Amino acid sequence: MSTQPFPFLLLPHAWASRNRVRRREKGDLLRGIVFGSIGIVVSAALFYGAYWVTTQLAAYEEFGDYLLRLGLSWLFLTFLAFLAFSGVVTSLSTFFLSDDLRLLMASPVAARRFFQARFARTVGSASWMVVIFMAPVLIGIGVGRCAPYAFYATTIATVVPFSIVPVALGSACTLFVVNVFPAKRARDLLMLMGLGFAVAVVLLLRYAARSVPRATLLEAWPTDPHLLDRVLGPPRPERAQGRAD
Amino acid sequence: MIAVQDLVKEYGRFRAVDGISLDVRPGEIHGFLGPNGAGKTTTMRMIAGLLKPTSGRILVDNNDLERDPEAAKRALGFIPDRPFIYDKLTAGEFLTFHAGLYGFGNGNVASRVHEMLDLFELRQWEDQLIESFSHGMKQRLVMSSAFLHRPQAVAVDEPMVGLDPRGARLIKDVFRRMSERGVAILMSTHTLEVAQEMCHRVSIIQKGRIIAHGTVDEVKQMAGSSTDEHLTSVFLKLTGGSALQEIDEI
Repeated sequence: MSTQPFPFLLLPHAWASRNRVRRREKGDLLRGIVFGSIGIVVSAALFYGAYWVTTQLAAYEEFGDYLLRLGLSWLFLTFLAFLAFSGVVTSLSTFFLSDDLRLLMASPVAARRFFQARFARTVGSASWMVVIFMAPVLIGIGVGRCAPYAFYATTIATVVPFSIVPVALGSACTLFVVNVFPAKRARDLLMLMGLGFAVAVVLLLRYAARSVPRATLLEAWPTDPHLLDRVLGPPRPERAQGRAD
Repeated sequence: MIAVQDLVKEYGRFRAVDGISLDVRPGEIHGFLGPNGAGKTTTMRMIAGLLKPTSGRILVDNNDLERDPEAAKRALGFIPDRPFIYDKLTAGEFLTFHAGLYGFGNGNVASRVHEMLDLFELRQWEDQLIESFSHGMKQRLVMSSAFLHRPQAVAVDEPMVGLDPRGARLIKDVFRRMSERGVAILMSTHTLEVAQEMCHRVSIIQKGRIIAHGTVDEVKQMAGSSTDEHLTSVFLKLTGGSALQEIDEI
């Protein structure tokens, strides 16, 4: 009897998705059109936004390049954190709380193949949104900079490990925690870790505010600057004093 | 074919299974009986490799479950009390996937899947999504998956729950036929009529220990009952539930 490679364990999910598409129920087509259109509009907006910002920044020579790098750094840093946290939560579900575990664990599947399949599923579930969001942004930047093909090749070579490594770290964290605590208690623990993670981000930003000028940080912040202003807290007295002078 | 030796399972200080030993021979249907919380399902899950025993040994077709789990699991068909089925697959896809899990080659999968669907009267539903199946049909599908890879031994937890009389009759026939072909069947059940009717030997478990073991007649003798007495009253005598039966009779 032959042993199937690990992607075989992912087949039920692929077949289930295919069956969903094949056996459309009433309203599925409408839902598909509505959500598909929203997806296309959002992707187009992201592409155009990234393209527009890139072309605008190109007018500022070195400073524009610096700001573009800073923006990309924020983007990658934000998604890095998102992927790591998503990896923690998703791996808890795929490795320990999934419904089909009993079926697979009772069958003669080698532990290594089981782990590989579960990890592949974790990476897919945790990172598909990030990849879909990043793709139009990075393409927009590439088009805006009239980048050569090497840029896109480098982008792929960067995004693939970028979406795997943080998820792997998150999964490793979950596997460690669950081996120390029972899975159900680990869920509560992970919620606490999420809170700790948010506190760590705030502390990190406050630490960054000591070395980078506050105005630069606020300028580079991708969303509402008031939010970052509140997170950073009131300016330090000597800087406030310095500004008054 | 299924040999369990001094099996222990502890959850903290609580000992759910306390030194159980069992031996299910080829071609034997062995009833595993006991009240709720006695440790039946825990034992079945350990035999299936879903739970790790605190101590003890499990052999399936002479393969040690701890040392060679893949060989032991390949020789076993397991039907849990609450089976999982991929609802969005068709019956045919589910069995094909199951065949792949047990290493069936592509060449003979389709014919074996059809054979099992015919045996469990599900052939006409082969291309239907499982989500549209009744409970009884799902139960039959799970059973067909357990026998699909021609196991040497089968462990089944509560096989008759939710089956209509026709389905129950079908399952009994299949179990008998498989047993005649030499498959060892360990069947945990609350349905004592089924145990009395089908099992060559029974083991009664209470508070994690085997308190009676042997053929149905031997167990009746052990409880000081006549061979005409129904297994239910013997079971209640042995497990200390006779007062409840008296209340029922009033």
